[in-house]
Amino acid sequence: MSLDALISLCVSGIVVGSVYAMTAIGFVVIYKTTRVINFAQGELMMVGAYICLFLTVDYKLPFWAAFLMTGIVCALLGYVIERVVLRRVIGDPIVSVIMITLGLGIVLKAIVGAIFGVDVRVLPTPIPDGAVSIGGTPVSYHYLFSMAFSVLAMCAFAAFFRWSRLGLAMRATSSDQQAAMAMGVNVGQIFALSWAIACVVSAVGGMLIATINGVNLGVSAFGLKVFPVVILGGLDSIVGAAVGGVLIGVLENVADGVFKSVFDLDGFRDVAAFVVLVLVLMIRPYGLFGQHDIERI
Amino acid sequence: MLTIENIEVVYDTYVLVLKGLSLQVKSGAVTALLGANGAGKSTTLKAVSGLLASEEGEVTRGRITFDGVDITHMSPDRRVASGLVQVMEGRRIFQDLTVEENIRIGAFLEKDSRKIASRRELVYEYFPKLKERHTQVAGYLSGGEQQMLAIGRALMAGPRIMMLDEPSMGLSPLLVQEVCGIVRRLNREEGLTILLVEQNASFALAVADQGYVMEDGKVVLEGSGAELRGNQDVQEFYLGAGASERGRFSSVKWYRRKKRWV
Amino acid sequence: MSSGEFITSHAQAIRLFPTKLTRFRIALAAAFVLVFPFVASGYQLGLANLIFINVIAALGLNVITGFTGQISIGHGAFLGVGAYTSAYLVSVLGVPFFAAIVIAGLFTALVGSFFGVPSVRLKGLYLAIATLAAQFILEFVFRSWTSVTGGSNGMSAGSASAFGHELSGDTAFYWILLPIAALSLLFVRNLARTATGRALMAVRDHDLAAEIMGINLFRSKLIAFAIGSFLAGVAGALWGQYVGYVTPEQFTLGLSISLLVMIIVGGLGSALGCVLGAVFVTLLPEALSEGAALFVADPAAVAGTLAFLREGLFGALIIFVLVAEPAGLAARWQRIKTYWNVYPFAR
Repeated sequence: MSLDALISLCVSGIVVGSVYAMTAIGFVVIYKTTRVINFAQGELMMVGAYICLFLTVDYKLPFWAAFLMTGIVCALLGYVIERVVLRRVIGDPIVSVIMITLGLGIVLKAIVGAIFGVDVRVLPTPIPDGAVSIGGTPVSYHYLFSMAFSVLAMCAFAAFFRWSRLGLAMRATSSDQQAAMAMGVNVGQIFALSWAIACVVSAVGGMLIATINGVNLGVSAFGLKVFPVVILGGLDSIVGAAVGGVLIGVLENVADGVFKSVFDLDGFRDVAAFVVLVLVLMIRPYGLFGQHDIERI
Repeated sequence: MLTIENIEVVYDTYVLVLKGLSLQVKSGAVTALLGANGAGKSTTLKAVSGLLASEEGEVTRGRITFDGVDITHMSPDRRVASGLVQVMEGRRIFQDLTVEENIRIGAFLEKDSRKIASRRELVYEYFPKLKERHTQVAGYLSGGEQQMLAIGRALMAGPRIMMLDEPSMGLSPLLVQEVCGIVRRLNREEGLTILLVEQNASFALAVADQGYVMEDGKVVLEGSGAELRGNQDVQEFYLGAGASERGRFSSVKWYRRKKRWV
Repeated sequence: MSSGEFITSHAQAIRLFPTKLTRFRIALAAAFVLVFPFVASGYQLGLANLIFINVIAALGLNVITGFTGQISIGHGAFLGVGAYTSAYLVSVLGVPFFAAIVIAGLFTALVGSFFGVPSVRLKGLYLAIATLAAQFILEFVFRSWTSVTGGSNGMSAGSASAFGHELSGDTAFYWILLPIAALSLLFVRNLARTATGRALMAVRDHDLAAEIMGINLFRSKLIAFAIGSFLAGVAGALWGQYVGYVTPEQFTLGLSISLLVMIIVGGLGSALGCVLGAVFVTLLPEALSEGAALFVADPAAVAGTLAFLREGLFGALIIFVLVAEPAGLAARWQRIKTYWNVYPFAR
C-alpha cells in the first residue's frame, strides 16, 4: 500500500471519526443522565437522515432550512420517546431497558423502511463537488463540511455543558439525582431533555453521513460504532469522545485498507473497531480513560 | 409557617414508617427534630421536601401545609421554588462538579442574576474557605468543607425554611461547633427559619428554640429547647447524663412503655 | 385444618416438581407433545421444531443472563459456532450425528468461555459492549474464513444419520429435538437446586457479597458462560442439521436479540419462561403474517412493506410487553396461579 493511499485513508477516517464522536456524545448524554444504554442510537441517525431527505426532496425546502427543521423534529421525537417509553421503565433491570431500546430501533427502522424502501438515495446539498488539496492529498468539500460542522457542534455542546444553566443541571443530575432534585431540578424534564439532545445530535450525525454516503437503511449501522468510541474515549468528557471517535475512524479505515491489500479480505472495517475494543477491555476493563466507580457492599 | 398534620408515610406500598406525625415550624425559629436511628426523622424531612417519591415513598394520610398552602403532593422543584430547601444527609454535594458549579446549581430556579450574585456573595462571606477553593473539584474537599458547601448550595436557592439533615454527621467536635455557630448566625442574622434533624442532641438542643423527640414514627415529646434540655428523659437518653438510679435496664423498659402511651 | 401447600423441610422446598398440580400439568404437557406429531401438519411440525431449538438456545442464554446476571448480546453468534462446527464435522470429517452435536456443544462452550473472560471484570454497559463485539467478530469469522465456512455462500451441513437411519424431515427431527429440549429444560430447572446454581444466582444478586461468602467469581461466571454457550452450541448444531445448510445470515445480531427477547419476555431466570418466550417469539411472526393476510388482498404485491410492518410490530410488541410486564410472562403465570389459589380473595 502506498503512502498516498494511507494518508487518504487517514483523512477519511478522521472525517468519519468526527461524526462518530458527535454521535457518541448523544449516547453519553443519555447514559450519564438516565443510565440507559441506548442501542437505538444508529436508528436515530437514520431517522434524522431520512427526515432531512424528505424535507429537501419532497418538500423542496432549501438544505439549511431542512437541516434546522430536522433538528427540531428530532428533538421532539426524542422528548416523546422518553416521555412515552423510557419514563415507564426507570429502575427496571438493565437488560430489560437494553431490550426496549433495541425494540425501539427495530420499530424506527421498520417505519422508515416501510415508508422509504430500501434503495440508496442521494441527499442533495449546496456543497460543491470538488476537492481541495491539503498537503498533496485531495479532500472533498463534503468531507471538509462534515468535519467542520461536527467540530463546531462539539464545541457548542462543550460550551452548553460547561456554562449553561441546563447543562449544569444535567451534569448535576448525572452526578447525584436526588441531590439535584433537592436543589429544585426537575429530574424528569432533564431526562426528557437529554433524550431530545441525543436525538438532535444523532440526527445531525446521520445527516452528515448522508451528505457523504447517501441515505439508506444502512446509516443505522453507524450507530453501533459509538460503543467502541465511548469505551476508548471514556464516558466522562467531550474531548475523550472526540479522541475516541477520530481514533476509531482512522483505525478502521486503515485496518480495512490493510486487510484488503494484504489478505484480500473484505468487510474488516466493521469488525476492526470491535477487535480493538475486546483487546482494550481485556487489558483495561473500564476503557482507556474511563473511571471505575468505587463500589461498597 | 410549616405545619405537618398527622402524616402517614408508606415506603414501597407496605412499609409504614411515619404513623401520624404532627409538628410545627414557627417562622424565624430553629426547630429541632431528635430521635434514634430509624425513628423516621429523615423520612419526615423528605416528606416535606418531596424527595420521598424518588425512594418509592408516599404520604398516604394527613397533610403538610406551608404558609397555608397544601404542599403534600407538590412536586419537589415547586417546593424548592416556594422556599423549602433541604440539605440532605451525608452532604451529597456534586462530587464531579467544581465548588463554583455546585454553588451555581443551588440557584437553579432563580432567574434574577442580581439576586444570584448577592446570594453568592453572602455564601462566600459565610464560608470564605469555599471562595478560596472555588475552582476545585468538590469531591476533593474535606468533610467539613463539603458540609459547608452543602449548606452554601442550599442558601443559593434563597430558602425561607432550610431543612438540615444531620449536619454534624461524620464531623469532628470542633467542626460540629462551627456548624452550630453557622446555623445560629443564619437564624439570627439572616432571619432564616431552620428545621434541624439531628442525632447529636446536645448540638441540636443548644441552638433550638423548639424541639420534638421522635420515636418509631411518632412524636413522643415536644417543648421549647430549654424545656427539653431540662427534661430528665432527654438528658438520660439523648444527652447521656447517667442518673444512676434510673439507669437500670428494667427502668429503661418502663420508660419505653411510658413513651408508647404518650 | 390446613389448606394450600405446607412446606416443612428444605428437601420439600427445593423439590423439582413441588405439587401434585405441577406434576399433573407436566403430565398434560408431555401427553400433548407426544400426541402432537400424529395430528399436526408438516408446517406445524416445522414450527414446533423451531420452538424446540429456540427453547434450548434460550435456556442457555438464561443461564448466563437470567441466572448469573451477565448480559450477553452475542448469543446468536454462539449458535453459529455450534452450527458451523457440527456442519464441518458431519459433512467434511464424517463424524456421526450425535457425536458431532456434543462436540459442537463443547467447542462452543470453549469459545463462549473465551468471550466470557472479560465478564469477570466487566459489568453493565462494558459487558454488554464486549459481548456485542463477540457477535461481530464471530460473524466476521463466519463470513471470511471461506475455506472452512464457505464464506457468505454458507456450507452444507452434511447428511445426518443415527441408529442406521438417515435423518431428514420434520417428523424425524421432532423425535430428536423433543427429548433434547426436554432434557435441557430439566437440566436448567435442576441447576437452580444445586450449589453451583445457587452460586450463580448469588453472583447475580450481589457479586461482591457473593465473593466474600466464598464464591469464586471467576469460576462461577466462567461456568455460566460455558453452560450457556454449550446449550447454544447444541441448539445451533441441531438447527444446522435440521435445515441442512448453514449460512452467516442465520446468526446475526437479530438472532441474538430474538433470544434475549425470549428470555426477557418469558421471565429472567425462569426455565418455564424460556418455553413461553420461545413459543411467543417463534409464533409471533407467523401470527403477524397470518394477520396481515386477512387485511391485504394481494400480499405478494406489497411484500416489502409488509415485511417491514411485521418487523415493526415485533419491535413494538417487545416494548409493550416489557413496559407492561417487566418481570415476564412467567411472573404473569405465577400471578394467575396465585389468583386462583386464593380465589375469591385475590385482588
